[in-house]
Amino acid sequence: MKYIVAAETDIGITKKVNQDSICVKNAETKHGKTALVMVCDGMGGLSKGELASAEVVRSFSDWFDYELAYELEKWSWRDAGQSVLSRLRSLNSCIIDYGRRTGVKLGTTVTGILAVNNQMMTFHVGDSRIYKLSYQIKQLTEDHTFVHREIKNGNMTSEQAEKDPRRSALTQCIGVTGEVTPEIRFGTIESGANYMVCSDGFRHVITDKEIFDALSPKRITTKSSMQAKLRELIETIKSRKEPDNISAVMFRAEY
Amino acid sequence: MTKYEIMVIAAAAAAFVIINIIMWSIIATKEKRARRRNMQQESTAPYQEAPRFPASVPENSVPEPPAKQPAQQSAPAAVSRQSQPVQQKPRVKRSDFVILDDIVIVHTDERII
Repeated sequence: MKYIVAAETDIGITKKVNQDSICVKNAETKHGKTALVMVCDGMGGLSKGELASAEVVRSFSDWFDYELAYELEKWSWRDAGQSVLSRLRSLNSCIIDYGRRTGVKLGTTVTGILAVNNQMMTFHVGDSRIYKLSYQIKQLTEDHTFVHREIKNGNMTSEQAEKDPRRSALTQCIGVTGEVTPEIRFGTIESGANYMVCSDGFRHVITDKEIFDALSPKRITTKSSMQAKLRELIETIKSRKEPDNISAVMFRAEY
Repeated sequence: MTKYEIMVIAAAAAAFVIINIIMWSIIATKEKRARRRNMQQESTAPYQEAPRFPASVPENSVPEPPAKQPAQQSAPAAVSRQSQPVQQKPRVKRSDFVILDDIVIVHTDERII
């Protein structure tokens, strides 16, 4: 079994700070392979968004480096899900508390994949996304946005949502809303499929078809090709005047 | 109205008030419990939804089928774990845990925790 991972991030063309944080880890253990890929998008418009996203990434990075090896001894996806849930809630409280103490507004989305051998768990809060690219492109996460909720409730069409000024308004994220209900799901990794996690800046000005054409698992099979294509897409996005920070990470398992 | 009748009415009124207080406190406790149970079920909902993972994952691929762990059993676990600190295990990297790729990109040196 082989895991291939890659990551790219860019400040974009208008922002002074890149508020996105990313974490991509891949390890060989006596229990097999494990990987963590995640993107945190520090809240645009909120000061210190980069601090919130960095804190979440550091917490998960430390967990991967120092704790996961012990947890793999008695691995249970159910426990892993509970652990991620409580970690996210704990981080949410810490960041809210920091914001109250210092009087700054900060928040972040968090979206990622934890893989252990041929199984995986996705965790998600906010409007970053996970896509699965196999014979087609499929979004694995639901946007936690006001407009998505309105579409689901039948109060708005997709076309209206695209033009709605509230299209970036989140219904939940880490560090702002008192209660967070992360979306945690489990599944089997499809061998030879490419999984991509990206911030909203990555997907505003390109279509799903463009993403699929560029990152199709038939063509993109190596780390270097993943890296090169992600960079190429980011340059395209910048040329289309996307104002946000742009981040994406990729993950592929072959077995 | 005699003094005795007034006392009976007062006693009845007092009994009525006491019964009401007890009844409403029982109702409030039950509602609180129900609310807490709903919150816990919401927080563990993804586990019930696991078989409907949208990535065209076959149902039998879910690692731990919900049938083995009904929501009613998983709910208390969610509560007891929420108060656990983020760091629990010893901060020692294991020699049998070999990190092949390690990319962590953040854009600040500031820390919260």
